[in-house]
Amino acid sequence: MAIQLKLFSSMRKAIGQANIHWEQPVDNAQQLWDALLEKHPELKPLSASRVVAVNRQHVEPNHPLQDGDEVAFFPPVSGG
Amino acid sequence: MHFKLTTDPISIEDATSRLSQDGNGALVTFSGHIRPEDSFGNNLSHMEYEAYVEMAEMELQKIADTIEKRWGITELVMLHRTGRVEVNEPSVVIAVAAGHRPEGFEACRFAIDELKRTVPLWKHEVLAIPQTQSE
Repeated sequence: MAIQLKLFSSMRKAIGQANIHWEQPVDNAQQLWDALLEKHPELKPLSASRVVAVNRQHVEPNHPLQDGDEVAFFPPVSGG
Repeated sequence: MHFKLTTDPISIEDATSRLSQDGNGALVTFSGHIRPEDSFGNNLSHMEYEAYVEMAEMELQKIADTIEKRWGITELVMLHRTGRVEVNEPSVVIAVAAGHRPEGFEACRFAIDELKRTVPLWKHEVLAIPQTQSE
């Protein structure tokens, strides 16, 4: 399984990485987040406000993942 | 319709110059500017905007599609800065040309509210460094 993982704003800053090539098998976005937390516990304070997008679409955390997906985690948006 | 994320300065004139007033009786614009202070009253040096560009463009297209479907308006421009934006400069500009003012105001209000709710952009305040007192 290959997932292109993207982190933005406070999440990117928390771990100092914007892009991660993810190969560990996961079923859905929540599982990916949980696995990411194991590697980067510094993200934990940001869990409550985390937003998920898969293939550039807003989705719920239980959204199933497939090989080749682009998954993004970010805090609530603040444009304008 | 036209939308753009850009590191270059933006203005209401940029936006309205891209609109056709042909047959449209109302031109409604909105621009949002960088305030000089944060919510605690600290002076800002500038603002930095970060974007998930590919997704932001898709979300802007959704807003434009909804406006066309709901109000029949296709003369719409949405511009948003990325990167460094100075105090008092506009970070976002929206312009709508509509047949009449009610749908123009409604569509413009919808565009900025949806942009702030759904488009993956993030602002980062950079505070001014207090000047040290010279002796």
